[in-house]
Amino acid sequence: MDEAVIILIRGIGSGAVYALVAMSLNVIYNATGVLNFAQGQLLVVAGVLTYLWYPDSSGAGSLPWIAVLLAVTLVVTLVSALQGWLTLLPMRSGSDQHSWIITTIAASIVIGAVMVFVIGPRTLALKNPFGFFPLAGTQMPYVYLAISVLAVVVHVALRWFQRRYLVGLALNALSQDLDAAKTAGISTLPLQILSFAIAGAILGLTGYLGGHVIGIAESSALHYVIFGFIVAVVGGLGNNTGALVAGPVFGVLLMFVSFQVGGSVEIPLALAVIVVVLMLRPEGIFGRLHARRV
Amino acid sequence: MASRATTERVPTRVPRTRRLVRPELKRELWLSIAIVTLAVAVPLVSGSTYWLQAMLLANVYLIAASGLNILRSQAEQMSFGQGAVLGVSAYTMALAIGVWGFSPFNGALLGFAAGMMAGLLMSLPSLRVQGYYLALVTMAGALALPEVFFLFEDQTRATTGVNVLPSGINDIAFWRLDWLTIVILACSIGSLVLTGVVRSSRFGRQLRVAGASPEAAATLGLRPGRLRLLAFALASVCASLAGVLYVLLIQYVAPGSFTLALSILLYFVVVIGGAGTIAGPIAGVVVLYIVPEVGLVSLLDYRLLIYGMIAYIVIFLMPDGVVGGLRRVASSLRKKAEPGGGIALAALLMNAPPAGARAQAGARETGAALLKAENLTARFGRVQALDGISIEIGRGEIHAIVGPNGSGKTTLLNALSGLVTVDQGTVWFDGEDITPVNAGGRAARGLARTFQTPRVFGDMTVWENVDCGPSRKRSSTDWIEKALQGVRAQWDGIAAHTLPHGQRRSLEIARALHRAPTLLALDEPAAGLSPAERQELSSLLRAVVAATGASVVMVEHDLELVWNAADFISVVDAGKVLVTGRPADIRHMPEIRQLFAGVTDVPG
Repeated sequence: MDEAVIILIRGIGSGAVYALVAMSLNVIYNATGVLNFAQGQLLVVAGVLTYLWYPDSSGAGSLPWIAVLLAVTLVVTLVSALQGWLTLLPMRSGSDQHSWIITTIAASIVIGAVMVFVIGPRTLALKNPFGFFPLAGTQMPYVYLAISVLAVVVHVALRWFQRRYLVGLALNALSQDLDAAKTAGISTLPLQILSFAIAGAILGLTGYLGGHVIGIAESSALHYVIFGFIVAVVGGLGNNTGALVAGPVFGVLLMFVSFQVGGSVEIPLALAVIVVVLMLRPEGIFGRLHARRV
Repeated sequence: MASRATTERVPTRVPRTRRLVRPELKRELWLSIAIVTLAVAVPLVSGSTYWLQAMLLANVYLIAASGLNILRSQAEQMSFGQGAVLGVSAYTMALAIGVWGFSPFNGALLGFAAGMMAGLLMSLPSLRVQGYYLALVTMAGALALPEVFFLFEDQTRATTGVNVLPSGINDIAFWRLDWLTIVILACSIGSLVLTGVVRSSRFGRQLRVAGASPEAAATLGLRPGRLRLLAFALASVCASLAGVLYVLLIQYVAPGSFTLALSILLYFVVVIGGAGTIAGPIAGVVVLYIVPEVGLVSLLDYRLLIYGMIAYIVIFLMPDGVVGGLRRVASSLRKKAEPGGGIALAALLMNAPPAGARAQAGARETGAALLKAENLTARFGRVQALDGISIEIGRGEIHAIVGPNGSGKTTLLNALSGLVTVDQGTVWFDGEDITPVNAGGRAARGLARTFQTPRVFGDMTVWENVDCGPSRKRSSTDWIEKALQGVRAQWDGIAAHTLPHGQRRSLEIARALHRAPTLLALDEPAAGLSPAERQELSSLLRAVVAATGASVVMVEHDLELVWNAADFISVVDAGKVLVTGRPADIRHMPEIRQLFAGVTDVPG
């Protein structure tokens, strides 16, 4: 019983991280049609910056946690916007619509190389900023709750932003029909870069809170982003509600099975999940089936 | 590109029908073979073991990348699993020889078979999903592979890796040359030749159609799923072979050598080198492997940084990859106009013997309809696209389906050609109930189809575009096939992208006629055509019916064309046929007057 509660809380916590990655992927996908493979690496950047800037226990020269949070979020937002601009640039000229596959993976490789220069190839043990609460006979870090709350907050905020503000509405319009939005006179490039920036902000917050939950390592960047994709696809690509539901379910499933069998089964299991979902229901659980135009 | 001036000798000589590699690809192929041979020969002569080893490994990667090139560019399947297939093949072979005590030959066979199995697994999702979904699944597979090795640590010795001792193949054949070097070079040249042969073959063009437009492929009578699996099989042969050669060359395997990074490298090599070209993977291996890994070995710490930056910069400057970019520069320097020209399909059909007309007349006497659809119903979500529609198409007639947008015209055409499964209703074709028959089966029975947007491949010649269906057994006897063979050489000299829009319609119709259809279904054939081109289309349709005796059913918005060309008109609205009949008989009906208002030919 206790074990089940721990699996549940930890699973939901790590699932929330993947749900957040999935939502950040959705934001960009809806506005640009791009699946940004560099987003795993941006999560690593957020984690590394949190590690570097976080107040150490001695307290010497340390910053308040909220300042670190804002600084990390701001930097990742800017890096993401820059990366977005570099991704969108070749797409505007050529006839090739798939250059983004190369450019986003290339960006991931370059950012990863820089991260290795900064911290080396190791898994960072990020500190838990909020202390512990007792649960089922153990001490459970509050970050597991915090990251789950963050996922809900981000979901609500995105929804609110897309309905309340003109810019949000315009972003929403891009997701409905990119060409029509262009024809309607929406200047798409700034909006698309904005979508990268929003995704960056989400990843900044996630990296700060989620670093402790999943453990940050440069070598796992593609692993994060592919798990994020899996959650996004299971929930229905582009659908944030789907991601919010699919993330924790996916997280609990992985946590349960790796608890029983061992951690190395995690990625093969994730592969099985995506294969089964795509075979049975390619549009995802919450996705709409797009009629093919013939 | 194509540069053969063939127009003048067209009528005199029937061109050789079988050639392994298209003439304009030969130079690129020979150049590619020369490059890989020199890359191995130079370090061999100069005695540099380091460079020889690097070049041989580069050739191993080239073999796997050439296979992926076929899969990615010819069959348009986005696979990030090529490195995993190589890995499974290599690792299994190393285990078989190094641990289970197989002989090197049997171990290699087992490794190759295991690689093919992995390739088959990678290909199965392609039956269900395409595009980036496929990329994602294969990527997840490649990501999982090393983990699977670690999961079965006891069997795979994942932490230490597996050593394989040198065997007979590492012996010297003569001079400094060992057998392995000869084998690797031969395989690498073989993979280049394979790329050229597939690109030149009808099979390659079938892959192309199936990848770019599965529904177009189905209406040509191709089986897109099977073609995709075949493309994966070809790619897996290359990857498994590369895996076997990798073990023989490196003599050691560990899970870390076959991570997702290897699959990404191979994909990058194809796209950045120049997808679809023979020399592309060579250029890709040079800029992405040899330059960062071997050339700049002193900057080893910056290896990944350089690799990523090269990938971005090349795609930014040359979206078609290195070879594509170089080719573009070269052709702009030469300033030579590409061989253009037009296709005169209507004129070709005018020369038809009267056999077709007779067949048509005979059919009219019996009075049996060629195609009969009864009570077709189809629903998409809340939209009732077809609501108990019935239609009859006689032999040798042009039947136009008109109606407002969203009235179900295209859905009807799709239901007739088998692209849409109806909920209810029956379709008879030539007296046979074909309701349960899929699009491919209907195509085989003589139903051809074109689409609203022409499915024309700009980088192929006109003839290659026409001849991309399944091979036909009874082809040589009928007249239209002979006529098309007569213009084959001429059409093979015209790059399809030089054709104006109206001619692309003719090309699609020619592609359909190449299948010797008895019913030709056209979806908005006049869309985007100029008034003159519409006039030509009208006479072309008449010529098709006169020359082949086939019937034409078309969905069309251009009412003037409909009024002039059609024998029968069916007015469709809200998934039902409102009126059907000959233009003369229905011209006074109020539905027609309303719809055809403004068309001058309708007398008051």
